[in-house]
Amino acid sequence: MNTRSQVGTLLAVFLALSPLAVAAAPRLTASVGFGGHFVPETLTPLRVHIFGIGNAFSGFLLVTQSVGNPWRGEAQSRMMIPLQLLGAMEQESVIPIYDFIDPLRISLLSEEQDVLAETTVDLRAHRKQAPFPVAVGDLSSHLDDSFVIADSTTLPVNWAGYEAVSSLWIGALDEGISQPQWKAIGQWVLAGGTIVLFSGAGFYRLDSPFLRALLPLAEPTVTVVDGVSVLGGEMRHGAANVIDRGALPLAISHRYGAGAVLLCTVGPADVARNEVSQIAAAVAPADLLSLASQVEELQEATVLQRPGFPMVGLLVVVSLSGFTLVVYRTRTTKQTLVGLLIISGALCVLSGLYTNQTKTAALIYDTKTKLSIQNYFGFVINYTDLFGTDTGTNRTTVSTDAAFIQTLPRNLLEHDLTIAVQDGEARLSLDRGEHRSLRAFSSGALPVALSAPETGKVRVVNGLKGPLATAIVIRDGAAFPIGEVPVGEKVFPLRQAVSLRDAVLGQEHHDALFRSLCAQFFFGSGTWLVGVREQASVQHIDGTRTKVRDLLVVAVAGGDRD
Amino acid sequence: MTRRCGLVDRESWQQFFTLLLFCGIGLLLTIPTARVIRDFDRISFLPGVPIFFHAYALFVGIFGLNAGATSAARKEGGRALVGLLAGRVLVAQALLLPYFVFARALYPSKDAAFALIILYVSVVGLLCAIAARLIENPGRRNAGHGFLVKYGLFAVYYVIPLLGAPIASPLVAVTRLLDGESAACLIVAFAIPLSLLAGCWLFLCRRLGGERGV
Repeated sequence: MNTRSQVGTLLAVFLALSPLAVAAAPRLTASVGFGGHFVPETLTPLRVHIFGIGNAFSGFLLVTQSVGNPWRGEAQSRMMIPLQLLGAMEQESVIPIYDFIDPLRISLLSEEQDVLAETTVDLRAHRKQAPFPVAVGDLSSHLDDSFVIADSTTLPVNWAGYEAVSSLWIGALDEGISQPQWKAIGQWVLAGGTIVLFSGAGFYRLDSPFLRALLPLAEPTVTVVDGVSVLGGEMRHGAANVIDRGALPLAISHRYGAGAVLLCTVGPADVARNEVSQIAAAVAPADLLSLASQVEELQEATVLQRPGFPMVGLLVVVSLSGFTLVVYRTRTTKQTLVGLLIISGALCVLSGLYTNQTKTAALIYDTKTKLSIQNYFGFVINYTDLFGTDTGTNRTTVSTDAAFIQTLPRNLLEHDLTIAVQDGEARLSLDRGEHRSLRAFSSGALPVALSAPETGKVRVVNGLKGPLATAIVIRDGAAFPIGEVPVGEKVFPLRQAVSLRDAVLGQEHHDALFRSLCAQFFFGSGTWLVGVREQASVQHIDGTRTKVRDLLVVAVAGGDRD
Repeated sequence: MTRRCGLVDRESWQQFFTLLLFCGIGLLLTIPTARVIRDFDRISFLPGVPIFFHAYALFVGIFGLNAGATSAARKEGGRALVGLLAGRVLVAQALLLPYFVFARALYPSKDAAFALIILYVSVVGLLCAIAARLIENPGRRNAGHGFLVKYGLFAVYYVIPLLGAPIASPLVAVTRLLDGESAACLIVAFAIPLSLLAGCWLFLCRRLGGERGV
């Protein structure tokens, strides 16, 4: 074979293999937040597009970010997210962003955790210091620079992704908003978000069952008044006009759960700029429902497990006197030794009996508080407050099937804040005296249901593993304490209504949670069941003796006639 | 066996009593004073310091010194000497066992560390006893001289390593063992008293052989 044919053969082999080589080199692009905008120390949507892999590919995304600086202290956050690709090889996740100085690093890993591709996202350019308003649809000509204009297709389908949004303005849209996006928006509003919705002629393009549940109008219909398309309907309980244009109600607002919905009855094209300014002034920024401070109080008031001082003092006194008596009352060394060993053995047994499970110190105190709000949308917020007591490193694992974020202390120098998330578990370690708070936002409902079989009665179905220690039924703002709710089905008569302010669950810390919930959440319309369940146990998590305090606060809407 | 040659008797009981008393005080001080998490470190005395184990390492060492001195005063010798010294250290450990059962409630899931600490401190106690027996020469006229040398060396062993090689000091070694340090750290912690013990043992054997020769 001459040189020319050898070169030709090599070239042919190279050309034949080159498509394989291209196919075997995946790459990815990523974007965070809304148009790249985010607020540090909040949950933020992350969209990753992956190229060069097949549909059957399974692997992970590893999201790594550095936190802090040499003065404040440095830490690292690592999250391993299983790939759940949407169409067009796209992955949407919600991740915590703690800092903005170093870029966010996103790696594509194979099932064997080999790095296949990597990209970084510069976070410095689009950082916001506080939650910001986001607008989708044809609104940009009405709004000032504080708004982030986003594409409606990029709105997150996980309600946790809206944490950094102060209000979501929705204008006329050609493509509408998908059902998962509406559901996420509804969950976010229920949890304390604020939406401003422009309707008018464009209402039907936005229309969905989820949207109708949020609207301050029942049976909405579009009519034409003086040449302008106007959305009208029956005002829901608690809804109010906030801006009028002559006889026309221009903006109607109502509270929905912990959030608010402001409906502009006309489309964006029919609203004057000064009217948009009036609407903006009437919008209350989102304030997500939070029991964090009550949970922290609860954690700080947790009683430490330890042996008591009097018993140690008694042990020392009994040991000294017992041993001394033996030494001075026995005649031979053998008798002395046997006597000492008998007393020592007896004291060992008594000490062991005293320092049983309830007197043995826990190395980690884990206060888990789950807040579950259940209605047409429903959401769950899990608070995990951890406290380490051991002189060494206290390792623990927190189960997480949801987007979660930890509250960072100002001083990072004394702490190792690395959290490794993998297989739905977050592994972290605590130093002695270190307090760590995590909050996780998710969806899902608990097996608790409420209905009204007849006037003056409610039926509660409790499918939990144990009873609700105490519960209150709230009907149109009036409270009816019903006491314990056992497992199974039970009908409770509603007698002796008290005002919501005077209602008590019984225990001080349960009442603190209930009062905080009532102050943030609108229970003024419909029927709700609010119940509390508490359990305490000692578990060995990752080999660490952990005292776990599980608290469940559940609020279930219902009460419609069977 | 006469009472005078026993492991525990009225004359030597004060050494055991002192050990039990001070370890008991150490145990009391180790219990966190806070009742709730909010006060965890606010009202604690020496927060996070395992005072019981420091007291244990310190006072077993002192007990060993006294046991060695008593042995010298009693002119105990021969093959049984090391057995007697080791026996006294072991009896002291047996008397402290109720404290360990109590301390286990303060440091759960650390049974292996407890076993290693007891073993380590027993070695240190025996080392101190043999060293004291060597220093407290029965024939020495000036007893005060032996006392000073004995406690001077004890201070050097316990305190000086804190300046450069903390693991060599029993006060730090027990903390490291409690925290579950690496195997290398464990080996170093044990190697130091064991090598010193071996040296003292050989020296004692030569000394006792010499005394018999005289």
